[in-house]
Amino acid sequence: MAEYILEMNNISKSFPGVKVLDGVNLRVRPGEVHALMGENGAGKSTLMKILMGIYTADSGDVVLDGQPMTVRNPQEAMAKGVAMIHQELNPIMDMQVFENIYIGREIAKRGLVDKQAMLRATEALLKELEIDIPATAYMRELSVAQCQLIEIVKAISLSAKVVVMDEPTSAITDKEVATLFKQIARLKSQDVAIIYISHKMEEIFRICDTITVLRDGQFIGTGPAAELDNEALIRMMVGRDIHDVCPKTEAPIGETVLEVRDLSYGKRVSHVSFSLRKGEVLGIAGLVGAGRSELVETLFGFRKKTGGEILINGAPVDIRHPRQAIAHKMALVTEDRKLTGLNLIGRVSENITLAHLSALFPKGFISRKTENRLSEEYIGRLRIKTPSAAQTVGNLSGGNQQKVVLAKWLLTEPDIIILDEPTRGIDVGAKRDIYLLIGEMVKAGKAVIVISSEIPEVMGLADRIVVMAEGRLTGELQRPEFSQEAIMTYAAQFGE
Amino acid sequence: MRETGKRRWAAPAVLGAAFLLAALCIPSFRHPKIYLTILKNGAYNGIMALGLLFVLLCGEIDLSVSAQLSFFGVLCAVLLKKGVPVLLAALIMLAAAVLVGFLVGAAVGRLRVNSVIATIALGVALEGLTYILADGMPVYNLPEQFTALASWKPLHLSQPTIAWFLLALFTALVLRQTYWGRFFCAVGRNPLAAERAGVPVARTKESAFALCSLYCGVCALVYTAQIGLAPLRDSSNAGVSVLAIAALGGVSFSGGRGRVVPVFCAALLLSGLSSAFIVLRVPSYYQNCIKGAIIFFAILTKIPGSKFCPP
Repeated sequence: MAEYILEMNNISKSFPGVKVLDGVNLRVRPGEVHALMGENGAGKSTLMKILMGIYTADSGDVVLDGQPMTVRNPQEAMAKGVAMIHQELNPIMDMQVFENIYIGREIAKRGLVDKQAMLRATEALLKELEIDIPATAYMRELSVAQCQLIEIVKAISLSAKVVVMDEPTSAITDKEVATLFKQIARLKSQDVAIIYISHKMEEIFRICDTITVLRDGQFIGTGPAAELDNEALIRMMVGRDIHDVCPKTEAPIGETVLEVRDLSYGKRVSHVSFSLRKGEVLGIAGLVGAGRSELVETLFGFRKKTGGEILINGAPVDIRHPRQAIAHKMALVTEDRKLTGLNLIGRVSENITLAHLSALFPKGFISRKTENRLSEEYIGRLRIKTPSAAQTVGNLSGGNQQKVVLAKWLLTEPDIIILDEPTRGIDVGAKRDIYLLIGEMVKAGKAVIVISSEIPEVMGLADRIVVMAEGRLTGELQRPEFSQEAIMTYAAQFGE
Repeated sequence: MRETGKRRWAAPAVLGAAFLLAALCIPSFRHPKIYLTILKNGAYNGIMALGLLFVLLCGEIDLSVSAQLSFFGVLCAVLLKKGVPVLLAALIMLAAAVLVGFLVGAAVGRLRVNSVIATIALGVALEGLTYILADGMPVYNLPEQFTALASWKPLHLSQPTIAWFLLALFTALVLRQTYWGRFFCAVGRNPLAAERAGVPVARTKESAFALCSLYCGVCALVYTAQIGLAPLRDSSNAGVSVLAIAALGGVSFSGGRGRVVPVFCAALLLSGLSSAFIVLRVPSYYQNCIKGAIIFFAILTKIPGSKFCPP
């Protein structure tokens, strides 16, 4: 067997106006877990999409298991033994779990699809991987994190030679991460190579053998994980030293601006009460499925509350549509930017102004000059990497798309800002930008709620943490009391 | 949504090239008279296509435009025959059109009824209502004050043409310059994100359907004035033609993408094609085949990645 199972040599790729990859090399050995790291827009996702045949490289070649590989679509790539779990998930919502896992390669018996066989195989696999999702569940019923787990199961079931995992743990909890790592170990023992794209350095050092770093489309370096450390990696990725990954900004805490009493949304949110003060960062922790996103969506008027009341600045408010929430100076950055945050075929400038149009242009007529000026302002302020304000948002990398969403909400100058997994799938440099932004917000007297599944992040950012489990608020911790054990204990309080 | 640079001129360029070709090959196309006819005949479908544009941008569809056309025409005609003054009859009919649109839009936007089903149902219902209203017969002998208006031809342009131009300007203005126009595209492309950004999705859809029906009403007005009677059914299959114009004009049927200029040019192109067929004495059955083939191949060129699409 050749030394490398996969070689990507001198790959270059350009999109209109942007050179995304410039002579990049990636060489992976069989049975190796190879980390691919780099900031937003460094080119990692693009490189993998070329591997999968979603894009074609402008120059360079790919060699798989000694044979040159040219694929025109993901199906061909999968047939050759390369599987990918994407950062941006796309399950078929109206089909069941086992159908999604076998999509494109259904088991057939005498010319007809054999549902029983697929179901049994899926159930066996789920049981072996210790994943607690019924094989007959519809994808629509699953949360973002559960969909991701199913994607991982799909890739595992394909028995690929190379498995690419793009931010696989960005939306799953520690318990599920442990399960994932067990599976990675299993794949390793079968000489399957894994390309692991992640920003979570802790994980990378835990599980990866080799690390390759890209920056701005260039290949910076590659080496064994044992010979690198956090600082060296950050320096390679960012080109400059970054200390203090999660800076906490101290800000004076003022009076109560938001009070939630006994809020309910069916069973998903059950009699939740808490308050929020000016200048405060309130973290909401909990396991996936605890109801945190549903809670804030109910607060924001996207879901109709079934009980309880909301008070802003002491006065009860009736919020039945996001429009009213915005009028009350609230903002909600949703969990899934592609699904619920952006108009992907629209321009950056159009996305940035969408939530504020009627306020910006009360007479009804849009001034593109004003729109562009404001967009440029926020592009600069948030350091959004885009050729111009007229760029189609779908062309930007994940992290820059997230910044566009943030710009949209900051433009409305809210007093209460709710961030649902704001740094999901985002690299160190951009994460720090967002943490600093949160710091600016609280210094300006805003009240911020941060939902995050990354406990170190929540502990670093928040003044107070409330923990949810199964729709209920199970605990509240002040900053001196913060600890991973305490949070996990509250988060795991099931049944009652 | 604005195209930048060269692509903005693609539609008018194609149109220009087509007419140039026609002028070279067909003698009649060298005189201005046929162009006036093309403008007049194309106006009816052109107006309805513009109305449909609002609905398509929202990611919905209206399959009842030809039924609406007949109904509003008959409504106006019946009112006129009952002695209602021309202006009042027109206003009542247009108000009814807006109401019909709002009702459908509410069904689609608030009750979440699928727009295919809702508008088919509306079409069928309106067909029946048209017959009831007209007592089973086309409405002839419309009052002279009404039909006299049709002969007013400023600058040699007929009324339908002028109405079409004005509506095209209005549509372009709304879509490009107002934030309401932005809402249509936002709702069409990603209703979930739009709603969370505070866009009133249901109301946006209601207004889209209301506008579409209003345009059908205006079309009915100029149509009945031109031909002097209100037919019970539309024999020209306008519903399908209007959809074809939208497709040819590059409007995405999944929502969020579409502009006035290409839709306008597409309507002109189809109308020009029809006139060319008549002049060339192509039998009408062949006409439909050829039209269909042209539309099909034209749409192929718009699918990115297909062999026919320019990069």
